[in-house]
Amino acid sequence: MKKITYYPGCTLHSTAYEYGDSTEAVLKYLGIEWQEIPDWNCCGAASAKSLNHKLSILLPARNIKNASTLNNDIYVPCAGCYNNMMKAKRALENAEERQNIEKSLGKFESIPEVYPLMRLFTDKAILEKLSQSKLKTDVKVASYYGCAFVRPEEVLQNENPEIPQSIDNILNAVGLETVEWPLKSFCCGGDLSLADSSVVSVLVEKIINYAKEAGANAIVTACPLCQANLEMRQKEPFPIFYFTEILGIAMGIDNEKWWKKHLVDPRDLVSKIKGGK
Amino acid sequence: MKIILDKEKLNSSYVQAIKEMSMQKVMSCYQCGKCTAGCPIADFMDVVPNEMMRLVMLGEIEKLISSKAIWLCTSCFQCGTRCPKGIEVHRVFEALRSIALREGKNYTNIEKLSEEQLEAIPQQGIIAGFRKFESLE
Repeated sequence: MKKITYYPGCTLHSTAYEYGDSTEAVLKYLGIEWQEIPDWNCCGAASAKSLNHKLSILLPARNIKNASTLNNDIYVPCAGCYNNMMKAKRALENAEERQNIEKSLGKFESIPEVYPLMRLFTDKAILEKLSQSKLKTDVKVASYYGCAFVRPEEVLQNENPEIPQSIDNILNAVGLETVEWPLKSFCCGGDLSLADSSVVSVLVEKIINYAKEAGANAIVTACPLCQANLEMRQKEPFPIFYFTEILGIAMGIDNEKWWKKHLVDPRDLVSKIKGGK
Repeated sequence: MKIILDKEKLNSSYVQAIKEMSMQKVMSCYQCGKCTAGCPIADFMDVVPNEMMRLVMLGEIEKLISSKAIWLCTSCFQCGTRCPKGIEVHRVFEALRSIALREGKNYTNIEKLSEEQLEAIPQQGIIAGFRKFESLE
């Protein structure tokens, strides 16, 4: 049985509860054992690096150190957390920077691999397992990656920053068609949702219009902040899913609780994805 | 816009701080404008990314610190990914924000967040927003 180390970050237990719960349900179904990083802390989001570069490396580096005791690869569902943790990992790969980090945090015995959660499901064996649960539907979706999973270059692993593919491959495996569209890694506005929501509304409108024009009935994402912005700042109801929720539907283990957490009720579309009219 | 070049301004402590904090070779920018072309927020900025790079080269840092643009940057990293000279332009924005924050130009006021925002916006967004929440008022 595959074992992974899991870093939920602050979001997956709270505002993105449906992402966290669907992830755990899918892992359970696939027989993947997961353990959370012991005593994990905040990744620093975007505020740590505005205040102090050293802090922005040490916060995620501490998580990596705690995870190293478990001896498994770390999988990170949130884009912001992944981005920060990857930057800390790159720093640890540099001998001089590693020494500086170890001055603050003590010696690292080993440095585990850090992957975005999507990467787990694009593993060949798991992709094959996924393709055993096929959806029969003519619903099409647009996969949306946002910024932090694919930029800057130092965080990239096996992905094209302009035309990322992992979510598409996962959804196609369970029989859901994804459309080709140009805004897969366009910015949703991120934390500007607090400071100047009118800017975010313009960006979100652009993203949703492009997705519709490409023939999509919904957007599927992997980032909690993208999901919130896309739902909160849109004009006409257009459902926004997490990719793990779609996997849950395909496996027949979806939960009514997930749909209640959405700001845009996706239940009509969920029944269509399940094969209804 | 009239800019008077002077030696002191070109080598001011501000310019040094930006080079050091951003860890970027700002002087190698040749103004192709790809950063601005890719920037999703450029339409809303008073100083667009390639202008910002130019002003850093000319030592006009105070104009940048008081600009709206440095707070509108969402750190989406598009500018840096597309720069043909390999400059991570977003890190220059980050350095400018750090300088502004250290000069007390911004602070967090959690009480001003609305109920709707607290309910709906994920924690990572709220924490990230702390650095620029009040700056646009």
